[in-house]
Amino acid sequence: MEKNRNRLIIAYIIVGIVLVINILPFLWLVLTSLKTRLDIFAIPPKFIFSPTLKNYVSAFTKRDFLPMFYNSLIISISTTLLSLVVGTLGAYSLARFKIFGDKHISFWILSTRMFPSIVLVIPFFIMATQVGLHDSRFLMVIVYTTFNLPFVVWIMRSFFEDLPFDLEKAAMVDGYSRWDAFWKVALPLSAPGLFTTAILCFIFSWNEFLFANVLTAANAKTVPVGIRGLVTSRAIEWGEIAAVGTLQVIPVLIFTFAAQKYIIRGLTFGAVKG
Amino acid sequence: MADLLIHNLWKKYGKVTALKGINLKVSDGELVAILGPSGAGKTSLLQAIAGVEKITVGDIFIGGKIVNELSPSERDVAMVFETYALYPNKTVFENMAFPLKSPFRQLRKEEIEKRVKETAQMLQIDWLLDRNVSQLSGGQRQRVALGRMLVRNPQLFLMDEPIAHLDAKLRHRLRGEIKNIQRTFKTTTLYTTHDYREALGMGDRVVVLNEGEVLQIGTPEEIYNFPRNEFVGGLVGDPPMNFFSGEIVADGGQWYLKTPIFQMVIKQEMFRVLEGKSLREVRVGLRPSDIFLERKERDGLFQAEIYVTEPLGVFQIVSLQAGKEKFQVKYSNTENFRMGEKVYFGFSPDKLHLFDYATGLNVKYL
Repeated sequence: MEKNRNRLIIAYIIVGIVLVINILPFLWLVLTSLKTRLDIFAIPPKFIFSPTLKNYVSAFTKRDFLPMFYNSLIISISTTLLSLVVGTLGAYSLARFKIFGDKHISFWILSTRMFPSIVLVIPFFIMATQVGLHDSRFLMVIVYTTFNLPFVVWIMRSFFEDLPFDLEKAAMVDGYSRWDAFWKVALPLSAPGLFTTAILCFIFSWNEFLFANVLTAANAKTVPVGIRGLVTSRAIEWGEIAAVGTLQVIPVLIFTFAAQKYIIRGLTFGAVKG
Repeated sequence: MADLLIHNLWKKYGKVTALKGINLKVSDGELVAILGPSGAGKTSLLQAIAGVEKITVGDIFIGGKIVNELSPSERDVAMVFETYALYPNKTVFENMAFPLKSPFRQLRKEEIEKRVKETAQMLQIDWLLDRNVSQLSGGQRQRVALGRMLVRNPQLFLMDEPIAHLDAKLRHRLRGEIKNIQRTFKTTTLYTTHDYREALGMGDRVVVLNEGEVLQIGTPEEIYNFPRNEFVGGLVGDPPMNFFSGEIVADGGQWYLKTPIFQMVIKQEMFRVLEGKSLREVRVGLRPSDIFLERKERDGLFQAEIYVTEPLGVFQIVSLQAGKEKFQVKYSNTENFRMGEKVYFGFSPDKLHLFDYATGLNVKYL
């Protein structure tokens, strides 16, 4: 008993340390967003101060963050939907149909994620300007989808491989077409996987900076690029950075909490087989 | 309802050949049991008939109509999978209603409800209809799988080891129930199993399958009494048939069958079967239930020693040792034998099964 209690205490201490390391930056971010310029630089740091929404207001009045949030949202949601539709169909085919060289195809799909993304930025930029897609939301959706697809294919493939094929065979014997067996039986059962990949796709597109920075200018500018713009040669607007940063985190948090149950199941379910 | 005809059916998975030229005819309303060890190709055969696996070569006719190119739904067969394959996210009712809701049938809602309830009542699972299938026991799941098959009125029932994963008691009860259901519906049925009791007990006819080949097709009596080869003989019966190597030798105008545990004169009738086949070496099969034991020596009996006995209620399994050979006898439990005791065993010569040493074929079929 004594030994168990000691272990429990140690476990709590470790969890506590991890939580502090993880949550402190967020706390810092939120507190900074509510401080005046003077309070931000106060030493020692102030934890008790009179909060202000000045930073939030100026982000949307002095700066143009509303269209950027709109862009981010449109691009992220479109990317997530497109990646899921294309990726899931591809994953299902790789899991269920014997294709010549299917193992190689799977590996090749994954290998597209292996080189550093910066290598791709310049070619993407040149291609985009040549076809006249530079600084468009459409371009960003295409670019992000190419990055999300390998990921969707690999997670969903292992999901489908773990589903007994007999279920779909039973559906076909029960009078359903090949497509219905996928749509009405296999897909609903892989919902946890779909949720997990959807969230991860969304987070990737929502936070992506490098490509957005190079491939957008004004029309399709996303929030991360906008935040970078707050670092100017004259001043660094810490208050506004914190305010926009806080708003940037919120949708992801809501998304993740809402689907927490599925994510945990999804991550463990898919992780068993490679 | 329909008859089924399978002609020269081959199924290959890459380099593995699962079915090697199956020919089978099943009459309307017949229950055919397919008996074979795991890996024999039983599941491949059923799935080929259902249409969920493409066949490599051959033709399948259901009700006189060739179905090679038809999709599983168009073939109108119902199947119980070994894994049951119940939809885990659906309730019992939804599982059983699923085939009725298919675009091929499109029944009215009231009709679906009526049929599912009737079937559930027959299978005594009507009180489970609102449960999720993940909450059910193995036996209950099995009934739901049967129910999903029975709500329709298909051309064929295909049952792939439907009760293999249940405990022995339940298995025995369901064996009777399934046979009874099949007799009631009079639907042509294929039933696979690796348990010879199920196959002999349920099938009008039994097909013995091994390594993708049909070894024997016959009534349960034929399979038991006239196994076509050594494999069939060893597959059917518990404890399994005893096998000895034997030699046929001529000595002073008489023909003898010599085995390590006994030697006997080959009688006229059997000699006629063997005559002209130039057999020298044979495998001798003798069922444990065909051997009798006596304590006193007399003519025609052979000596052996009690190795061990296993009393099993009405009868006992007696293991005997003669020389280096051990073999088993199924004997009534009225006698008590001691270990090491000398006994005398005998059998009626017509109970002997002789198999060609080279091909394993029963000499009667040579």
